[in-house]
Amino acid sequence: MESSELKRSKDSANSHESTRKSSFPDEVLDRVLSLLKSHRDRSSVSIVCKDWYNAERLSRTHVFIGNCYSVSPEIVARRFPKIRSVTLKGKPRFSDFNLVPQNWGADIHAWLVVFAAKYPFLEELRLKRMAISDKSLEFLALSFPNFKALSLLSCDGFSTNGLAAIATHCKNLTELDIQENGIDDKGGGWLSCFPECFTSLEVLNFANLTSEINFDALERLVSRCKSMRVLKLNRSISLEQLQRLLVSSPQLAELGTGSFSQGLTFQQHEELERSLSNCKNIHTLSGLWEAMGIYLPALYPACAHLTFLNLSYAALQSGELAKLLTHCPQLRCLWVLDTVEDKGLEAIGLNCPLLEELRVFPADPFDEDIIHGVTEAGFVAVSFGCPRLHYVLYFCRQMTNAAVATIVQNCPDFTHFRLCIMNPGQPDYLTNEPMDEAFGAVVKTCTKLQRLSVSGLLTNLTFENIGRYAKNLETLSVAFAGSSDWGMQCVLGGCPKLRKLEIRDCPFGNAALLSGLEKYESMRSLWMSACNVTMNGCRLLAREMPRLNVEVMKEDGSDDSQADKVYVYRSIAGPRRDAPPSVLTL
Amino acid sequence: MEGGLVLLGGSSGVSTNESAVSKVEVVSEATSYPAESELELGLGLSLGGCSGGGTTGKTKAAGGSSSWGECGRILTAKDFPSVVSHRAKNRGGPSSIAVSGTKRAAESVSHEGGSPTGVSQVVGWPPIRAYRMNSLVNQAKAPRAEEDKGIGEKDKPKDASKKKLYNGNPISSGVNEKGHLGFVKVNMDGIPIGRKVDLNAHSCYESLAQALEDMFLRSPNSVGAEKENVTKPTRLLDGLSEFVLTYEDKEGDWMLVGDVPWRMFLCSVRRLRIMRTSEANGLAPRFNERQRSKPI
Repeated sequence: MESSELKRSKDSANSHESTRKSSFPDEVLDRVLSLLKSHRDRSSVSIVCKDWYNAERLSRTHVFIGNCYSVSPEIVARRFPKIRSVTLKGKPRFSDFNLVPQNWGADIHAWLVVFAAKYPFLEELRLKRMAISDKSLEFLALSFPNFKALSLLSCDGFSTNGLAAIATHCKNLTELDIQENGIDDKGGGWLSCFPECFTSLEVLNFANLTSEINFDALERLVSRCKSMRVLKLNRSISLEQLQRLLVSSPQLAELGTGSFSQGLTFQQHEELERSLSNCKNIHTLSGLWEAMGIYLPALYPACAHLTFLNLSYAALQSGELAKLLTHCPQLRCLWVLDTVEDKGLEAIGLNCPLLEELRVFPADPFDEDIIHGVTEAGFVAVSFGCPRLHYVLYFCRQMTNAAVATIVQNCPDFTHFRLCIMNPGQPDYLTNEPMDEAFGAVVKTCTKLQRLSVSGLLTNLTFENIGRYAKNLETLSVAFAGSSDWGMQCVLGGCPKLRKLEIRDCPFGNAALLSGLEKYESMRSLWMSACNVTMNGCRLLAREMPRLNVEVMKEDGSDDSQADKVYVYRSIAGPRRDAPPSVLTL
Repeated sequence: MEGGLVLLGGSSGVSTNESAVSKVEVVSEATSYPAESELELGLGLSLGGCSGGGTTGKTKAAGGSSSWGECGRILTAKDFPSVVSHRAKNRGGPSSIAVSGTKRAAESVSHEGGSPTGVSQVVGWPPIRAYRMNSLVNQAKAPRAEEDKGIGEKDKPKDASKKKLYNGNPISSGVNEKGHLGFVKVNMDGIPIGRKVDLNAHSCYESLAQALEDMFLRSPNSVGAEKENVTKPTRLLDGLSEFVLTYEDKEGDWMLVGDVPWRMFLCSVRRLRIMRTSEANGLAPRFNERQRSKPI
């Protein structure tokens, strides 16, 4: 319908090409733009011409800010007056691994103050790696009467008291999604703060909180929120309690169980199985903490339409996984612990032909006295059985070049290839060669590759290949790899679509850092820690490129001349003013 | 890969001009990043003994990593934290080569011998979200806590075959940035579920034995309680009770606990086993002569 409208308008525009202003009817443009959801499409639209820029900015309702310091809240509010939904990301990704100081920044409060003034009708806030205090959560709860959805992932600085404020004041809340955060869990009383008349909740995820909540309050909440489709419980919820919840919410589409290990009688087991089989819409299943193999069969009836199974907190053995998978023919996405071992992965290859994403996490990453987990054999087995695999995150203790070559030959469509050979700098364990060939095969074969994490013993050859072949690469993570500056220079000189580069413990120095001067303005950010970059190199970079923020995090006791951790990012907001003393802005 | 002092052997892509500097550096251990331990240069392998090979280095408060990394290792990637923070103490330009050389050395050395050496205690590595690591620890603690004070309410039986493969506690005898270190596995004959004990929470054999007795022989929630008719306190160290405390050392030999000085024990212990006295007869000739073992 719209396309024919467009065609007619275009024709009329052509016939009036003498007029200065575009005669493309605004109403049509607005209508079309309102259908555009992707922020990348919208960015493209906004640079066509001034009119389109204005039309786009006035119609945008959701803004995505990948680096909270790349822009200021005032600038955002000035450009986009009608925002109802904000996604904000803060700290560099390595903060997840404790590499960023605690008080680094990315505090949401300044944003909330501006939003309260400019977007009083704000409905959604999704934060990743931001610092948020209880005060801010309370401010949020009180400032936005229409507030509907709060999602916090990898954030810190708040406690369950903040959640209580949200539950108490947000009368229209539809989504409360508290994912893996550094939350101070002071108790489960927050859940009881939802008023008895409150019925709008559709998404409730408190899986990663540890305290016990008032189960009666939860049961009442779930039974009166008839539109609830996502319910992810925490470990304090027993199997018996789960069964009761399922009875009142058979419409659930995503279920995160609580602890899966209570001693059940035969009758209780039957009841659980029956309640689960009544849930005909479940497509995502997670939780399953301390899962005991003998109770897994209760899940089978709920697995018929399962597309995402998250077993990353359930230490299953290979046999248990294999049996479970025979009931999950539709599986697209699977997360497991490496307790399932290669045999478990073989079972994945046999039972999940539609699999697109696999993540294998280590159950015991620091245990060195027992050889266990998964090897290259398991990964190869999956690749033979799952040709549609395009996203993998794989933690292992050994790998070979030949195995990776086979894997990408079987699965050439990888978009995300994140391989972590856990011992830093480990070579091919059969040939003792570096793993250069492996990643060479990945970049040469997987032309759609967007994200790559490398590991193992790697020379500059790996980076030459990445620079030359990885034409669609956007995110690259490197650790304990490379031989000299040339490696990093190759990446910065190639990889036309590179946006995020994060490097730790590599022999790259100032020459490498400075070879990317122009490149950094087309990227979101660069992280370099424990490399050979000096303060002088960083100062030079800062001087040459005024539109980049160059920040150095110093550590106690380190030399004045060394730049221990460097974080470089483009910004139109100028250098930030809220950096702690340990972070130097150059 | 060659053994001995050839720290850069075996990796084809590594530039060799770094080897000269790195060969002489034996880096002290450090527990975290930034590290404050001192860099002491010296030639030699640090095999055998806790303070072998000229490594000294201050250990941090909570017992430091005295039991980890010093014994039987030349350089491991674990040394990265101290290497990195000690760049400062080296000279300017050439130090960068020295550093990368040492790091290269550490990497190539850490897998000498061919067997996977597992993960070192480098800060923020492997790249697993802190949340996930903590929650694996908590999960292990809920059913089978190793502290004396409490055991989670969700204690559950797991059959032995499961236990063998997954202990649930990712923090074994290593260090992570939170300072959990010195944990070793403890198994008791007749009880399918093992536990872990933090060796650095103890300063002598008595204290350790007491903790283990509490853990295995007296706790009401202990799975073994039903299986073992233990009615009176036993002394694991005195050779008179039904059980003796033994340990596997770094060479894979099973030894009686209590023979060597405590700190030396900490260096060489890999795991513990509470063994039936009847089975321990062949363990060490010393055992038969001993009535009471006293910590030295």
